Amino acid sequence: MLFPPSKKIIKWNSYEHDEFGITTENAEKISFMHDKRNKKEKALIEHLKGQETVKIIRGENPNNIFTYGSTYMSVLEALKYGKINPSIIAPIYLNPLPIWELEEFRNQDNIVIEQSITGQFTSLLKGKAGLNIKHTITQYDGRPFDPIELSIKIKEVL
Amino acid sequence: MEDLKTYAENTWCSGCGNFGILNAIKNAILFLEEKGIKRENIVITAGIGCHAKIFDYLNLSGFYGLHGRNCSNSEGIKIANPDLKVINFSGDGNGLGEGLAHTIFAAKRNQDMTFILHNNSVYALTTGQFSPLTEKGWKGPSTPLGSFEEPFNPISLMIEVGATFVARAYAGEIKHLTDIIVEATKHDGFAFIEVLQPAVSYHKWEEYSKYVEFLNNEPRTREEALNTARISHKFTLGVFYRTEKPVYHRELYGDHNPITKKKSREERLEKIHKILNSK
Repeated sequence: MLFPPSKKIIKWNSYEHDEFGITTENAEKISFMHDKRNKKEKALIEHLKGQETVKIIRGENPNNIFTYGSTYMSVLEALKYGKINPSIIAPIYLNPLPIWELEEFRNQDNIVIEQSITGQFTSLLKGKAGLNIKHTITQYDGRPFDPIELSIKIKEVL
Repeated sequence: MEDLKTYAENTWCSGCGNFGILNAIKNAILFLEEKGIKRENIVITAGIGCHAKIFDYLNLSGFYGLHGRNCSNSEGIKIANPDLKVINFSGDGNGLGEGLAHTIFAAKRNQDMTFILHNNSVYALTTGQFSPLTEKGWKGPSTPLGSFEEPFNPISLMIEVGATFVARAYAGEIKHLTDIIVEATKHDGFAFIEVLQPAVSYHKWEEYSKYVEFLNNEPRTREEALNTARISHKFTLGVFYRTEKPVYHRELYGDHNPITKKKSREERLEKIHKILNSK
């Protein structure tokens, strides 16, 4: 990648532009640039396939608990307190969602734990990864899950 | 020497004041090159608007960013490599509307850059809404009954917030504008040039040429400059204020240049080890 000072002219352009950085309204060039940028997602997914993108802790209980972000630690504490042992699956990346890691859980007993009134994480897993979700545990009072209360809620739906 | 013109089709209205600014900047750059400034060290930034199209018409490296964000881009470029000469183009809507905070802070910091404000007193590219410098009473698509807001006084504003070179020029006086651009670029610090730029879709050249006149003398003190800026009419041309003050990047890290004097990875690792082992 070139940076100034450079004899070759370098133009960064926030408008749609041609390969020299000059603004363009040309239909063909605009489509071409969109395609070019879209290719990044494919390259990104290939790169991510070689990294850890989902944390999976396998347990003996046949249920699976899906969680992400700050909810993850609350869930671990709840399971420890309640002495329950389902598998825990916590995606590290939500976009692109690592669906290649989640395929095996499609038709199993899946529970989602998230702090959202609209259940966005559940919708994402259903929509993008095709997972069957049997129950969503949620809380939206501006506080983290209490591990003791959470373990009771989990036991109710296992 | 490569042409300063690009192959881009020019879409300014025929007779636009921006052509005057384009000619002046080209002349200024050729003059500065004779004085030793290398073309590859000149970097331009622009906001969004009719003014910003100048970016496509000038064969220079630069960053054509978001509406109002030209100053933050300019500051970043300058702080990264202070050897570069940064020329920043802005419209009156772009620089004193959306980009007001950036413009004021770049001046407050006395960043070493040349800030050219294309003042056509309107949001031209979006068909004529009133802008921060629109005269009271302007009837446009967003103010059909006439704007009731008073415009800023850009000259006194910029002196007040810390600009160290403040001038006004006119797209119809290309020689004067060229000279001002050259002086501003040579000036060490934030150089602000308001350029009266008739936008023929909304104004007539006569509205300007009838009133344009030059300052008799350059004010000698800041107080005099502020006063002159306030009492003179908005078609008064000339340098209102210039002074020498510490420049941002030199206050930040002296003669250091983060790009050309970048420490190698080994040197940096060694430094970190030293700090960790010294406890």
